[in-house]
Amino acid sequence: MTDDGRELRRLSVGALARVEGEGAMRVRVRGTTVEEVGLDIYEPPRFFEALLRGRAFTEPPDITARICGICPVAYQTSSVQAIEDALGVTVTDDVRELRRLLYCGEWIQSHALHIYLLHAPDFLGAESALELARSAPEVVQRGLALKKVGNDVMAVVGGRAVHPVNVRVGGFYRAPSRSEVAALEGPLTRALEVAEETVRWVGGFTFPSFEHDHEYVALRHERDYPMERGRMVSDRGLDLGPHEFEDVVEERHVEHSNALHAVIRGREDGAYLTGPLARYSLNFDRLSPRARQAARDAGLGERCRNPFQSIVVRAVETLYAVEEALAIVRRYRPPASPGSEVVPRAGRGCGWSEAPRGLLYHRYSLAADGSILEAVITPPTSQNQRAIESDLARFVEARLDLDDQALTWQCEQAIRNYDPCISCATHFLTADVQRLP
Amino acid sequence: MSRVLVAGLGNELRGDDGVGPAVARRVASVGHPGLEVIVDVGEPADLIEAWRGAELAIVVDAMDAGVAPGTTRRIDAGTGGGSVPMGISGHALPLPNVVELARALDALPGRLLVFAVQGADFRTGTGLSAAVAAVVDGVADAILAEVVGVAAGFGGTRG
Repeated sequence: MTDDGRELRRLSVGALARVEGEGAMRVRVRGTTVEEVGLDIYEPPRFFEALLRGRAFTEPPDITARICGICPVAYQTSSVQAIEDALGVTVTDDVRELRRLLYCGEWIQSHALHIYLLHAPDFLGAESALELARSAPEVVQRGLALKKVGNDVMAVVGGRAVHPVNVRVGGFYRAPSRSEVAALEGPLTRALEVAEETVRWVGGFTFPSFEHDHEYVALRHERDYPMERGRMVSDRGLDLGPHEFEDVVEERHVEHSNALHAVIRGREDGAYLTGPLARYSLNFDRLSPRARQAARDAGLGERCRNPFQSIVVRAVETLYAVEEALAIVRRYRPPASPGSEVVPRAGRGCGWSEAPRGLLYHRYSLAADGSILEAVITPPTSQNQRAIESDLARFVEARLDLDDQALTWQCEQAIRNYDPCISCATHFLTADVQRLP
Repeated sequence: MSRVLVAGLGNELRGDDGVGPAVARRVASVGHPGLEVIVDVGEPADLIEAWRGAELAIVVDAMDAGVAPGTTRRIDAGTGGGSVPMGISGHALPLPNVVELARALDALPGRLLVFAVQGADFRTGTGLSAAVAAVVDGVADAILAEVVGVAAGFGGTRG
């Protein structure tokens, strides 16, 4: 009890389970008021930016790919595009399309991992994917099979499924042969059915009633559903190119976290949300007819503001990525050259792309010899963190009747809605010791 | 010979978390007929697919079990006879969860060994601590001895 007689509750989760990387959540409640919600993050956030300084302009695609085991292609894509921008390099359409195919592979494997192994257990009353595998092994097998198709695409285009090594500034080191790419057609065709079944499956889950009002921010392109290109737009009027990103978005230090919180300048609160919900809501008309129909059949409107339904949006995006990959595979012809020659020069370049978790922005300043003078990386989780904390506060306030254990568990679920990659945001490392029972 | 897989797990940009890839790279440099090495698995759930059809799979990972840095444990994970220590992981599904997931899906390899090496320093940065670097070759040799044992027909079967 507090000195004014009101009950003080503290909830804490030392290491968030099933969130990429690990972080800690802290909630302080006084009476019926949520006083503070924080995602605690301890690791110095700018390690990779410091590591890149003084390195050659050719190195960021491979170094930054190691920031995250789940979204290396996003790091490679944003970094090469930023450096190509600094060097005045324009890649051919063939190369860009091959990069999009690689990106499809990452979306498929990342979304399949999150849907089946990390998020679905929350809706099925299972503690973990292990419990789900014991009760419904065919479901987990289906998810792993879908994930494997994404890995296969990454292995063919990127040279290997983990931390692809084939992307370079100016293009690729080697373009895969037509037969190598054609071998993906069968698995991707079969994956279409699995992806559609996945949308139907998650569409049947029961979702808590909860909606937020954050500004949605995502890339938008004149033709494509956004992955590797587009302008940054929002549902409150933003429309900008990558060079304007830092004019509009400010990264702030906050006391309880080593991760920087990104906010939109000039807004009252500045919190905004990037990722599947924003992408979908700002680009529904850019999805394929089949993906749009699957979304409608699963009960989604053209916009979605319930973060718990993000699992359905991820499933729709997975279906789209499979379709898109299949279309690229079918029309693929090896480019005349896998990449263009690149000559170093002094310059400043910006690049972005849509990682599975949201917008990933890179900026590099290069010296005349191509060495890196400055690197700035703004990952999606940094951008979403303020919105996640705000949602958690509202979420907790409506559920104060639950005991601490139940409330903590529901908070973890609420965090997983955003698939936060705390590794990306902070490169955080925990040293907890746990053992299997 | 039957398919044998050695896989390193860990991030080489996180100090001693990189011991898995370091050992796997050493194993790969020596090599053995029929041996397949994945230096850095990245996302551990992918091990389940990688184990498919393997008579013997060996995973090498860092651990933090509160023992002296460099201490290495050899765990026969497929038999369920020993628990797999929770590795230092920035990943979504830590190795012990993946092992149990594979067990539930009846997707374990014929035999699964985990070599877990106690780290000293897991802070972000490149390079292994001296205590851990000192055991890399020895752990690689121990793994290669297991591989040679399978090649010679001494491999165990799944329990």
